[in-house]
Amino acid sequence: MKKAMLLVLFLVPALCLAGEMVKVKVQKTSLFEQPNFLSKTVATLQFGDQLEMEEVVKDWAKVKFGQQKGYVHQSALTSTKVDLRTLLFSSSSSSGTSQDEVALAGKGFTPEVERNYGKAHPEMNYALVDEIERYSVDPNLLRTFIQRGGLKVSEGQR
Amino acid sequence: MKTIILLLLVPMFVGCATATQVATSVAVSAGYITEGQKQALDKTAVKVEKAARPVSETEEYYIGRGVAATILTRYSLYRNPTVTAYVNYVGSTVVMGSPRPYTYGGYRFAVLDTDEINAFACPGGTIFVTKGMLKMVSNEDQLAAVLSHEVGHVAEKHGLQAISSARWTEVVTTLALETAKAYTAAEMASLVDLFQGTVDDVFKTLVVNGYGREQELQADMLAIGCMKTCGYDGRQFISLLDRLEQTSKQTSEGIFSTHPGIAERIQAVKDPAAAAARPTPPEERIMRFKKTAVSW
Repeated sequence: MKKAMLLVLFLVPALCLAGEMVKVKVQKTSLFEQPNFLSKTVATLQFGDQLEMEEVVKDWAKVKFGQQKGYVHQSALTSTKVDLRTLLFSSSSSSGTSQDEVALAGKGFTPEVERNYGKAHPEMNYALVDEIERYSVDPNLLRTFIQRGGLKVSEGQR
Repeated sequence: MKTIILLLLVPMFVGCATATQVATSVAVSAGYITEGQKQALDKTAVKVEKAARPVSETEEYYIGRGVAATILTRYSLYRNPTVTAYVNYVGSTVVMGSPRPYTYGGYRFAVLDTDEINAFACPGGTIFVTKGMLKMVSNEDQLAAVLSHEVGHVAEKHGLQAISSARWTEVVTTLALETAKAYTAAEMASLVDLFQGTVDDVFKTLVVNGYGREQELQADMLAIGCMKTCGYDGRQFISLLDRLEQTSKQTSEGIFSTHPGIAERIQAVKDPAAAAARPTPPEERIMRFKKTAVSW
């Protein structure tokens, strides 16, 4: 009985991928034509966007976003389902994709907490942090940088 | 009876207090447990649920911003557009070879204007490298090695592991878990204090005490993996560690105060680094490094 329950705990999440709704958990990411960072961007996805999972190709998820189809790297996605395996076996501060990151976004350490912290500690130079974050790498220049440097980005890392 | 207990425990340990309460109510109705036992189980479920929640990725982002702001109280930012761009392009390349290429706010790379030899990875993806460290690298592949190692710390959330578990439990118990609500002034003051404590925990580990031996070795292995995936020469990682080890004989400041045991690290990654060997880089890679390095 115990073995059967454990088997269910491990197998159910893995079997429920196709058709599952997933959400974007990062501020911005790309829906790529192919499972490759250097492939054409089909659409730009924002935090909280809902996608329909079609299949998993290594570290990439083939998804449907409205009428568009493409690939998103799995590290940019969160499931709204509870992954029992991670909850049961991960430590409190370790990495985990079990929680619905989008639902948690308004809780805990929020922009409001940061604002109040900044007011209490004016020596913290958040303007400089913002300046660092404003820097953005041009995808086309990055592609050229990689190609001319004799570098590569393979499909489905690891 | 064992089956009933198991059924009560499953929702409790997946962090679902409501499901536990439903299950315990059914168990009371069926006469399996008493009302007192039900209340004890319900309370435990709430505690387990609160303590079980990991740091969310948006919280990681705000903690990282706090750590970055703290680091910037100690060091000045080096604002050279050519150097900043180059470090960001090399960094963005290795990020694509990492196990976690996306974080909530994304990865950014910045240079600190100090001759101290060091690099810091703030949770969430802001990575600092000092001018002193840039002066230590002899080519782009070695710069990729430094940045890959720091990306490894972010990917594995090593910074977050520095947060004391007691503090995190307090953070989670301070929060309203079930419904979003506006915090009272007292709750906000408490959260701000806890935020400061959390940022301090991470800052002290990054800048003062350093990561543990296992975390450093893990970041090294991830760095070799990143370099291999992207086509950088893994042997350059060893060349850089060799140079750092030589320098450590002359100074104990900066990275050498927080990263002891370089010789042990060399031994640990020697073989995987050799397996990640790549042929001589194209002229373009050699020249763009030389062109940029004159600025640091």
